[in-house]
Amino acid sequence: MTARLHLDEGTTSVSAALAVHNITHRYGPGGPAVVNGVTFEVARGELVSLVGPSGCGKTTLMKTISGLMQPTSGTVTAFGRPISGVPRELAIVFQDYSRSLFPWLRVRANVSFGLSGLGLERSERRTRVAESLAAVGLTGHEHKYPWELSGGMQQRVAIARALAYRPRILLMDEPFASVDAQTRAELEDLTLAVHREFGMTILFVTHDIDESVYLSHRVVVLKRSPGEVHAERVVDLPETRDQITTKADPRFVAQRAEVAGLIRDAALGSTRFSLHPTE
Amino acid sequence: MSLLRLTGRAARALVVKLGLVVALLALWQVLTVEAQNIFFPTPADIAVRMRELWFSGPAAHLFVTGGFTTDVVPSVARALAGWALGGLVGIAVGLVAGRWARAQGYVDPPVNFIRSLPKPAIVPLFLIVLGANDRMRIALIAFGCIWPVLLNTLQATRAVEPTLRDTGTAFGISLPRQFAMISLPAAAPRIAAGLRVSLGLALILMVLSEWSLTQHGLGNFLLTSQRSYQVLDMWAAVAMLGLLGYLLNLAFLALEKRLLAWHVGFTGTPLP
Amino acid sequence: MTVRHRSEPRALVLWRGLVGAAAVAALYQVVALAGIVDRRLLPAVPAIGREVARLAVDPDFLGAVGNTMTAVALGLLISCVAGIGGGLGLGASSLATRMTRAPIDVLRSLPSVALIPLLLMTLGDGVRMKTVVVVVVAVWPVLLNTTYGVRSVDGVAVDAARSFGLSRLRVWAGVVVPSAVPAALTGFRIALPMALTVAISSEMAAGTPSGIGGFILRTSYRDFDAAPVFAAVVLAGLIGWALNAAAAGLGNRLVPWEGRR
Ligand SMILES: Nc1ncnc2c1ncn2[C@@H]1O[C@H](COP(=O)(O)OP(=O)(O)O)[C@@H](O)[C@H]1O
Ligand SMILES: [Mg+2]
Repeated sequence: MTARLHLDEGTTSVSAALAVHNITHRYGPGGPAVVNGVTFEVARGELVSLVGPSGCGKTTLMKTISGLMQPTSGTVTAFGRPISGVPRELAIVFQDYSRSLFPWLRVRANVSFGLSGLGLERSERRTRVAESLAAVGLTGHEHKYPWELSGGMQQRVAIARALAYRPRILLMDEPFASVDAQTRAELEDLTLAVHREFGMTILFVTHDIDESVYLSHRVVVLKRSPGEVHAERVVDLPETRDQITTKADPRFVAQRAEVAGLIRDAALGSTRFSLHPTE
Repeated sequence: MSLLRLTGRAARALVVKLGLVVALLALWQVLTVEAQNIFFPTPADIAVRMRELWFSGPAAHLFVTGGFTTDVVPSVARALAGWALGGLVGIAVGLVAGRWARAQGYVDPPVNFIRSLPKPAIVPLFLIVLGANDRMRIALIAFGCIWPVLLNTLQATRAVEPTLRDTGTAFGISLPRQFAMISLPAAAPRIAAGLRVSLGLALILMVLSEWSLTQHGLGNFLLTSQRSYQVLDMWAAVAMLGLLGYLLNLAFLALEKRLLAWHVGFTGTPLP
Repeated sequence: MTVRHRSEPRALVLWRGLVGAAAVAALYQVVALAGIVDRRLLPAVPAIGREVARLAVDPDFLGAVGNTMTAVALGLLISCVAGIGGGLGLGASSLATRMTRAPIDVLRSLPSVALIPLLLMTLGDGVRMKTVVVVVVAVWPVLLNTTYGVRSVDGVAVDAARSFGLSRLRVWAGVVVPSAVPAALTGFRIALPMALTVAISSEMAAGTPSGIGGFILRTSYRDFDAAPVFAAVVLAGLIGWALNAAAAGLGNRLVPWEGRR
C-alpha cells in the first residue's frame, strides 16, 4: 500500500482522498486549543488509524474533518476539493451507537435513513439496504428496533447505514469502544472485509493500540493537551490479517510495542512545545 | 391453570380497578336519597336526565337527540379545532426555536410570562377584539393550547441527543427534513405530554368561552341551568363534561401508546 | 444534554429576557397597527403600559387581587395538607393506589370549571366558594404526585435503612417521606397555576364584582376602552408568573438535587 508522501506545506497530493492541513480547533473564542495544527493525509483506498488517549481531541478532529464542525483554522480537502459542510462522498460511524441510531425507527428504516436525502428510487433504496445489511450479517433483523439488539449488532446497523450511503470515505470514531472483546474482534474483521469489498478509504479513530496496528496501513499517533500529531508509522504487515496469526506475528508485536512507546513518549513529552513533531 | 382460577383472577383485577367507583356511586346514591336536598339529586336521576337530554334519539341518529347536536357537538368540535390549531403552532414554533440553544435566553421569559396568564382572564380580551363568535372561541382555545405544547416542545427539542442531529447532517438531510425526521420524533414523548395537558385546557376554555353571549354549547347549557335553578340539568351537564373529558383523555392515551410504543421499549420507562 | 459552561451574569440574563419581551411587544404592536382588527380594540403598547402603572397602585384593583389571592392561598393550603396526607397514605399501599386510581382519574378529568356553577349554587359567590373551587382542582396533582413519589422510593434505600435496625415508622419518616418531597413539590407547582385559573374563572362565572376576574369583567363591560382590560390581564399574568417563579425557587431551595443528577 502507498506509504505516506512527504509534502511541503500548502500542497496536497493528487492521490490523497483526504488531506488535513494545519487544523486547529478551540471551543469558544479564547478557549484552549483542543486540536492544534494537525496535518496528515489519507491516500485513496488507504485505511489509516488515528490513535491517542481519551480526551486528546480525536472526536473534535473527526468532526472538523467531516465538516460537521468548522475548525477554528486550517483546511480539509476531500479528493482535492475543500470541505465545508459534510460532503456527499463521506459517511460517519459515530462512537456511541446507542445515540446515533434512531430509537423510533426499525433496523431497515435506520439503514435507509441516510438515503432519504439522495432522491433514489424506492427499488434502489431497497436493494442498497438489503445489500448493506447482508454485508454486516444482519439479514433477518430488518424489523427489529435497535434497542432490541445487542451492542455489537447495533454498531453493525450503524455500519450498514454508512455502507448503504456508498461513501468513498468512511470515518469511524472509536466505533468499537463500548462492546465486549469478542464482539470487538468480530467487528474489526468486519471493518477489514468491508474495506476490501467496497474499496473505500477509511479513517479509523481509536484509543486501542492493538486495534490501530491490526486494522491499518498506517497509524497516526496523537498526543494530548493540545491535540497534536506526535508521530506517524507505516504498518508493515501483510494485507490480509487474522485475529490469531497476525496478532502472534512478531512484526505485529514489535510494531505494537513501538506505537505504545510513541504514545508513552507523547504523554511524557506533552509539556514540551513543538510545532512540527511529525517525522 | 384452570379456567375457574383464571376468571377468578380477572374478577379480582376488575374489583380492584372499578370496585371503589361502584362503591362510591352506591354511597352517593344512598346519601342523596337520604338527604333529600334539592341541590343534590341522586346519581340515578342524573343518569336518567342525561339520557333524556342527549341519548334518547332515534336509532337512525345513533340514539342521540337534537339536544346532543346543538349542545355537545359544536362544543366538542370547537374544542378539538382550537386544540389542534394551538398544538400545531406550539409544535412548529417549539421545534424551530428549540433548535438554537442561543435563542433560549430570549425565548423563555416571554413564553413563561404568557404561559402564566390566567387563561380565563383572557376571555374578555378575545371577546372585545374578535367579538362573540365561533372564530373567537376557536382562537381563544388555540391560544390557550399553544403554551403547554410550546414549552414541552422547546425543552424536548433542546434535549435531543446531539449525535442524532449530527447523524442527520452527516447524511446530508436538509434542515426542514431534519425537523420532521429527527427533532419531531425525538421530542414526541414530551410533545405528547404537552398535548395531553392542552386537551384538558381546551375543554376548560371551551366551557369558559361559552359562558358569554352564546345560545348553544355545553358551557352555555351549564350556566343557563344554574341561573335558572334547573339543578338536575346542571348536574347532567357537569356529568357530561366529565364523561367527555374522560373519553377524550382515554382516546388520546390510546393513540399515544400506539405511536410511541418505541419510547417505552427504548427507555424501559413509561411515557412522561 | 445542555451544557452550561459558566453561570452567566444576571444582567445578561435579564437583558436577554427584556429583549425577548420587547420583541413580543413589538410583534403585538405591528399586529395592532396592521388594522386586521379595529384599531380601537387593540390599544397601543404605551397606552397599556400607562394603564399597568396606574392599576398597580389602584386600591380597587389591589383589593381585587387580595380577594382572589386569599382564596388561592387558602385553597392551596388545604390542598397541600389533604393531598400530601392522602398521598402518603395511599402510597403506603399498592392495593390502595390501584383501587383509587379509577375514581381519581374520573374526578380529575372533569373540566374544573364545570364545577363552578354547582358550587356557586350551593355555596354562594364568596371566598368560601372560591376556596372550595381551588381545593377541588388543586388537590389532585398534589395527591397524585405524592402518591407517585412514595411508590417510587428507592427500594435499596429502604432496605439499607432497615438493615440498620430502624423501625418501620422510623424508615417511613426518615426515608420514605423525604423521598416523596420532590414529587409533592412538583404536584404543588402544577397545582399553583390551576388554582389561580379556576379562582378567576369562578369570579367571572359568578358575575360578581369581587376578585381579579370580577374586576376584569367589570372593566370590560364598562366602556369601550380596551387598555385597562389589557393592563389588568397583563398584571394578572405578572402575578401568575411571579407565583410560578417563587414556587420554582422554593423547589430549588428545598430539593437542590432535583434536576441536577
Ligand atoms: N462541545 C465541547 N465544548 C467544550 N469542550 C469540549 C467539547 N467537546 C469536547 N471538548 C473538550 O475537548 C477535549 C477533547 O475532546 P474529544 O475531542 O471528545 O476527545 P476524544 O474524542 O479524544 O476523547 C476534551 O478536553 C473535552 O473536554
Ligand atoms: Mg471521542
